[in-house]
Amino acid sequence: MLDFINKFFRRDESSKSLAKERLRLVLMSDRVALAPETFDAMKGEMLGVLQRYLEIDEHGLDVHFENAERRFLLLANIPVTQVKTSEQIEQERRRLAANGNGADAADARPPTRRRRRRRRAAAANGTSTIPEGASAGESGALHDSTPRDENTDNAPHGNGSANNGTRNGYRSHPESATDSPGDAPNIEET
Amino acid sequence: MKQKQNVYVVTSGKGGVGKTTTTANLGVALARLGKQVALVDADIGLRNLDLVLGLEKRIVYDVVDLAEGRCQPRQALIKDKRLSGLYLMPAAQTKAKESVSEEQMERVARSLSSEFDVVLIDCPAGIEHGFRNAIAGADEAIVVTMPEVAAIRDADRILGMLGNRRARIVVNRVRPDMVKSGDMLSVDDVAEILGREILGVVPDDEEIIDSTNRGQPVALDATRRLSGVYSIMARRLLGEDLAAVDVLNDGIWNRLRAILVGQR
Amino acid sequence: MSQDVREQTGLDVASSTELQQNSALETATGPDPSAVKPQQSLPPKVTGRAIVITSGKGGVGKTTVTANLGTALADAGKRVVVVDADVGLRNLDVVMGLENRVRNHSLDVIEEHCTLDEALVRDRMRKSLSLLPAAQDRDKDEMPLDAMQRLVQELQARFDFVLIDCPAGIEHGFRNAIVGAQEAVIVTTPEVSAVRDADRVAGLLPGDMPVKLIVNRIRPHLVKKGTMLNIEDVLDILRLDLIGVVPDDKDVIVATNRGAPVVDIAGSHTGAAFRRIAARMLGENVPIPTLQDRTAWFSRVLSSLRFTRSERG
Repeated sequence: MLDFINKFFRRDESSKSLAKERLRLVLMSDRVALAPETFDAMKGEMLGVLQRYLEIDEHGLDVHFENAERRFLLLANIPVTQVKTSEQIEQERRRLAANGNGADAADARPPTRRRRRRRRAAAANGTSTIPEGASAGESGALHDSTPRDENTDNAPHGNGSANNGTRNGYRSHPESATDSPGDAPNIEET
Repeated sequence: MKQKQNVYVVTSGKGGVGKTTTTANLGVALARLGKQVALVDADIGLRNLDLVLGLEKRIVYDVVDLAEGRCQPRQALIKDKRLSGLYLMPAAQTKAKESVSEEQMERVARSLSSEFDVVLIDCPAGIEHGFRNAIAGADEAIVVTMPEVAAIRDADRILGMLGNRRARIVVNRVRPDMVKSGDMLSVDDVAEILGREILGVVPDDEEIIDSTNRGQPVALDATRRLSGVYSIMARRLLGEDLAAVDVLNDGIWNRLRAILVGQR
Repeated sequence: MSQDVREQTGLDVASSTELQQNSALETATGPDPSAVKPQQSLPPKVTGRAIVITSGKGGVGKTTVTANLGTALADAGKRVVVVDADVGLRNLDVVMGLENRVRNHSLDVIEEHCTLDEALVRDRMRKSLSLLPAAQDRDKDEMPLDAMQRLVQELQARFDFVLIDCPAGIEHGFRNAIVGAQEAVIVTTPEVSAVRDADRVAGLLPGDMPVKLIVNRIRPHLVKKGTMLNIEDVLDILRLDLIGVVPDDKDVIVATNRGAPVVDIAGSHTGAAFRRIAARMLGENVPIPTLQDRTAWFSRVLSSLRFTRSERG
């Protein structure tokens, strides 16, 4: 109510600047309503970025625009189930650095079990060009298995060692041996 | 043979902002520059381009007759006797807009495109079937708006429905006094909000009422102020490197001219 | 709306600023829907009146008329809903300054994504005035005619007045807007294209539907000059019952800029005209003033200063 009175009786503000401000907000609202695919793509990418650092319960996810009196807001409620360790974050970072934009796009979609199996199969077939370190990170990020984390944490070579702790962790996991036969050179070095 | 990219749809979304007036006067101005111009009234059922041009008594065939094959193209075109090179293809008044399909309208537009230098299609208000028909054959769009909230909102909506077509804005019925007093959005504001190039700026002028009453578009009369405005618009449409508004010599317009030159 | 506001800004003003050449100033009587003029046929009192505001020609003021008539009727104590039927190109929300409060729209209600109450937006200042918004991201042909008709009927059960803001044109959107209406108000301006389109629209309305005419945006000085058609000219062509004449005024642009109704702008002739029309819709016998040049009119107002208090609005 007060807002309305302010708007209507404000003498210092010209009616046209009021008009401009209202128009700006209403157009944002209109444009967003008209581009649901764009909105979904944006949401997907946001999710991808966050998932590098957090594990998120996608079912509880709520992202929407809200048209407040003088502001147009993007509001997000994002239930976090797990905060990633620095190793996992580092794995992710290296994997993405190696992949470039391709990885980001893949990340944009919420990971599914099937996709994870596809990726592992691709890596096993040597069809993936992802270097061994990156695969490790990928598996680590997508896999919701706690055993993996434990392996990484408990790896004899340790995470803080000069060696690549993640690589060791990856190697110590039974799955990893089958995942990347093609990565032989790096592994053999260590 | 490569298609000419010379079919322009004059649209707006919002009704009453000046599509028909713009189509008529821009068409006249182009013809006065020596071009062969075809104006098409796509507002089937609510035609007004004929009235604004003063040609309403000469209608025999219309665009629906042509689309349904009842006449030849030249029969549906009314030659304006006041100018050489200006032709009108009228809308049907008693039919509904659904009586012509988008494909039919596109064929009409393309056949006119090959015969004329410029084709202007006067679009009905709204975004329904009539709108889709009108844009079907168009290469580019001229979006007419006013410096007013509802009009700009609708123009924005329309801009999102034009596909890949180039779209330029005509800001119509500008009132410099109200812009100065802060009661009306400026042309700068409109350009900024819509984010498109301005083709022309037309001041509000009571002479339009009189000219519509008489069926004598203002652009016919070189002594009228508005005629100069439409002449500039026509020349800009034809690609001339010319500032949109020279007519109104005002602080606001001088700044505008600087912006418009920068936009090209 | 409180009683004293109604007295200040409602019917008292309407009749007191009537400046016929020879009539004494009338005393206003309160709104009395049962006092029916012979040619008006009000439906039974159990349901509200469903009125479509249409024109054919775009830009003649349908949305402004809907918003301001709705506001004036609410001020007269009525429960009013204004319905935006312009799916895809909505503007009633913006004209009423309620665009930030729109959450759902009529298609949401019809498709049962929300209840009618969830879609209705209450006006900020007038509790008996509500807006039913249109969708912005949908097409008009997604609204089935029968669903619209049922929606209007549901609204008639809750409101005294259901004012339907019709889109420009005569396509599906137009047919949708008129399907639930029992009365029509055609808005025109005194310009040839508008009058022509109004005539067309009048011919498309059901033959038994009562139709009234509003002539909007009249400019007395141009009428005097002979540049603009006068009311008699328009009525001669259209042959419809006139319910109001509204002067052209830049107040309307300012009001739209602010998202406030022009009836709230103190001293606005346009606002006063809308209040008179509302009064007539309620059965009041409010004469239509003859058109004087605005300066002459103004000086007459000043010379009969009794109601300047109400002019302040």
